[in-house]
Amino acid sequence: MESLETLKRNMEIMMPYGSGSFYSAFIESSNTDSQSLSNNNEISNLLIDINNRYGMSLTTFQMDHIFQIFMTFSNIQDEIEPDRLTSFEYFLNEDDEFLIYRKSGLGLTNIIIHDEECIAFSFIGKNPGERELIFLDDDIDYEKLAYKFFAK
Amino acid sequence: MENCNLKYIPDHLHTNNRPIIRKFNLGHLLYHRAKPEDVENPYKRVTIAELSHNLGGDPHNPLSQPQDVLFSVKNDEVVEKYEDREICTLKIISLNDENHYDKEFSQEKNGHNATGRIKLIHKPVPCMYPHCTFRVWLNGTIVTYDNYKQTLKKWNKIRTELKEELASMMIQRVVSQE
Repeated sequence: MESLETLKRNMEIMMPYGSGSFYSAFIESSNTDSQSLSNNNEISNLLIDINNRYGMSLTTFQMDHIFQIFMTFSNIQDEIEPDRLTSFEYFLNEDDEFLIYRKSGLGLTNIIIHDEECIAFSFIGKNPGERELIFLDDDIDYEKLAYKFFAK
Repeated sequence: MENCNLKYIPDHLHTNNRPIIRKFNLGHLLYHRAKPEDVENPYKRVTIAELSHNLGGDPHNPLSQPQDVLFSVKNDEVVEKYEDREICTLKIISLNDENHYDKEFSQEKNGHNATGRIKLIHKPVPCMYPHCTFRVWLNGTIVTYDNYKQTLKKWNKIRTELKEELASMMIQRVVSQE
């Protein structure tokens, strides 16, 4: 796996000016203790994959939210069933919406990170009428969002 | 309307000057052909502009069969049937007082307001009388592939509300005005 410093350097080269806060926060958070370093290794693998797949197509707004969400996933991992924690996928669609999603026996859950303005949480259950769509603009409670994401 | 000149299309699907259906009915069925990966998570690829379905109609006196939706009705296409597609069967479970599925979503952004609307309409073509679409408007303008970037692409919340509608239809297999 690439070192965190290599990851930071490569991404700073590839990303547009002004996107540094995403990686600064990432590197700062990696200098805490061994437990969080382990978590950050997992996060960095995800970020590397996202960068390889979508690179320049992502906005700073999206990168910041992706980072915050994955950090929160890492922070709550002791509270979540391991199978659930590894059950999500991601995708950048043609509307420039970055999707973090998982499918379970109960339905489909998406976190939709738009290119600007807001993100959204969607759950669509298998039964008619069983769905929830929430838009999140400011002061996002990422922990609450993460628990909702893995709840069903 | 011109006649159907595709020889592989069964006669019962030809429009032949039949009238446009103005109202829908509870319990009637719609069929949609989709790639399996699109059904898995419709948010990945769902098309908002003019999403086509076939009206199956009354299950006891059907207007079309599920597999009819696999036919290509475009003269310039090589394939006659999209054999690799999945058929989604949707049941109409609620409609408004005019027997339509017709919903609106609004958004305010930077002091401007916009309203998106989605409505199920019967839109027969020469070789496919049961053809329907979920038509979308933004501030009264029909959203098409050509104007999509100038219309819905700019309104994230309305676009997401519309995608949520279409995604829930594909997952829950119902059309609901609720």
